[in-house]
Amino acid sequence: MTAKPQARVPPLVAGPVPLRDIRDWARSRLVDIVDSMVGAKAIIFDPEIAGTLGLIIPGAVLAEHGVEQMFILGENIDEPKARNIMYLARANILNAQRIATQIKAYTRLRHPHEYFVSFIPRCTCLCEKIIEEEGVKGDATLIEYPLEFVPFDDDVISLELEHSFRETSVEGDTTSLYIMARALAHLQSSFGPIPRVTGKGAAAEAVKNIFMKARIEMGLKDTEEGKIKRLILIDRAVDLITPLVTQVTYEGIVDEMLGIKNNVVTVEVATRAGPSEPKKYVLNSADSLHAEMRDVPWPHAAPRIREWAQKMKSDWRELNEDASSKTVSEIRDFTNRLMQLNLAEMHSNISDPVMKVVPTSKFQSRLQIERQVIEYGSLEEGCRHVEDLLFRGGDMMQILRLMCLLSVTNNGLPKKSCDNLRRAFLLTFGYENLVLLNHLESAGMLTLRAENRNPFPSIRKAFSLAIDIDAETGGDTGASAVAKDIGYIYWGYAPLSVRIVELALKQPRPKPASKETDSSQSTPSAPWRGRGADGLSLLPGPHFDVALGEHSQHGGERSKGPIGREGPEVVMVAFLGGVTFSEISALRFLSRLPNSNVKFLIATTRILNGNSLLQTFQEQKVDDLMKRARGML
Amino acid sequence: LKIPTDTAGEETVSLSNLRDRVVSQLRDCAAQYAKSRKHEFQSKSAEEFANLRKEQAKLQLSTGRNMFLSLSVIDTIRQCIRLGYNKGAADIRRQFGISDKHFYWVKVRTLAERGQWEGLEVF
Repeated sequence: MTAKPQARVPPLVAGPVPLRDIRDWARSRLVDIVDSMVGAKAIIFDPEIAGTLGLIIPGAVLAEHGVEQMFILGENIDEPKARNIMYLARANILNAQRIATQIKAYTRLRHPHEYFVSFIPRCTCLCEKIIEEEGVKGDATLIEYPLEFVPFDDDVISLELEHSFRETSVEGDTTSLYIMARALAHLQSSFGPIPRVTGKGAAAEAVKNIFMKARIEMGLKDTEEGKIKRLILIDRAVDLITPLVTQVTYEGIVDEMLGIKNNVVTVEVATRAGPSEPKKYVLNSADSLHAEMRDVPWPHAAPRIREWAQKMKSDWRELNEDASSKTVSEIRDFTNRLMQLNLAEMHSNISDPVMKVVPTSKFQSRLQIERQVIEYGSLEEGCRHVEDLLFRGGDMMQILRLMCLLSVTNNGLPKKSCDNLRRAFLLTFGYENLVLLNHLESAGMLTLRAENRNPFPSIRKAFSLAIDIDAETGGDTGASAVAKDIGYIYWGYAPLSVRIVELALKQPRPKPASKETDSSQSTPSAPWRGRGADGLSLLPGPHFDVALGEHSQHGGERSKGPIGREGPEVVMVAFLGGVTFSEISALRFLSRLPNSNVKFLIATTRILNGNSLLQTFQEQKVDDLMKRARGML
Repeated sequence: LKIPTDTAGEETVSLSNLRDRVVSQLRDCAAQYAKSRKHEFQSKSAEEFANLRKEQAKLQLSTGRNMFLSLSVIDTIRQCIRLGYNKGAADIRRQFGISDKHFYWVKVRTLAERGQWEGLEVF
């Protein structure tokens, strides 16, 4: 039961704000571009976005509009037969060069083609210049496909800019922040002006400034109030700990072990015939079982999944026994149950490999050492653990993650331990990885300790990052209803990023900036108050909380009214540099707490986990990129 | 500064060729890094990388097999052990200062993976 194309995209109507329009708009724009070409077409995709576009438009719809062939840019492909050749690629140097080279090669061949090059989200001067200098500008029509946010689920939108964190932290390239700020500003034309912006971190500050300028450009009426009441910006550089910690929610752990890309997970499933074959499954909230389980930590999710598997077996038997002679309503019931069975089978296939790994001592000791490092610092013990993993032939990314976690929680590693670990790492995995280590150093993820002060214990205390999970869940009784702290989501660790969001939610509404002053720079933000506020200044980058426009005062008073009178407030949390599935789960958990009066819409530059974050710091191997992209089409 | 990795995939580089290109590039790289005190580790690593390439070329000559270039230090030792070339393994171990504990782990793992139990017995 592989996913049918329409199942890949959730209905997108049940979220805090309806996201369907965003997808429909992106889809119709793409269809318009395709329709503007007369005759048969071939599309050549940028490998990085081919899979993501599947969330916007199913391949079948493209075929209906005359797209006969689809290729991946950069692969050796025979000349397409179609008259129109359309390129769909992110605006970057590599893509522009590849496209120009390919068009040059094709124009030497016999068949005449029309070339359309659509850059996402805009055609930059640089790309245009490259196309021009390669001498193919006369042959190609340059267009723009202004794709910004791609809805991943009812409450998650992503730009899927894979390398955004590396680009901002290592290369100093802030294009992704600009794209994010514009995309956030543009959301206001669908959902109305956002009256308040709060944030932490240098990237957050930068995005806020561009966002405010874009507001002025868009000429938004500040007196209206939109559906989204607040925007909270979180810079990934402020919290590097969370992505390095192993996720244990159902969706998070599946992502850690199998990898979820564009909502699709690929699992090796044993067939009756013998050899296992890869199967692709779509994971989103349209699937009732997944919606129920995705945000639940593994220790509570596993028994439920086993229950399903049991029920599935007995249901099969039952359905097989009385499959004959049925009334229409009975048949309907039968098909419904069959669909439920299909879902249960899919989840049992997905969770099978996880079930096998979780009980192993290797995995358990990984969780244990992470908790220990967060709770006590345990530098020496951590280093010994890394060494042990290196000696015993552990997984490279796993080892690197732990090294980074040690560095981040110790304000950098002391020179001796740092050099020892880095050398052992290079001896094992090859000196060519020195480049990777250098990148991680520039990004502040694996650094030498510059000073002897380590603020992490104070940060841990101020934000209560370590949680006694037994007290939280009522021990082994499995009463998950007791849990009321986000530490439940990571089974003992409270994600710092979400703690900052919690703190931001508690801040009283600031006074709006007066009209005359330039709102972005000159209003000094009031200091944050409440538990954890003193920890905020220990984290890198500025923090701010500004109200925009005049209506905010009303809003301020109204929000003091009785809780629940107006229904929950929609808060958009934007992660700059990526977000993990478990952080999304933690935000959902927050909004479900009994005294909560918020609903979150999560915006991000991409969805990541520790491994995929570290991988972006590796020198890209073009072959790998191709292989991955091929799997997506 | 970048480490030249363009030849990482090649396995049949001749010794003379090697001495000319990659090794000297790596030495250059180490010298560049050495100009800054902050990059002591990088400089040392590039130097070690150059030495490794030289040792690997020697191993290719002495074993007559083109299966060492582009391996890491530990994988080079493992390759020697697999071939039963214990002297080669010991040389690399000495030159790169691999600790006893590390070396024995690597050796045990390698022999066990290959089911060379007699090798483990004489260990």
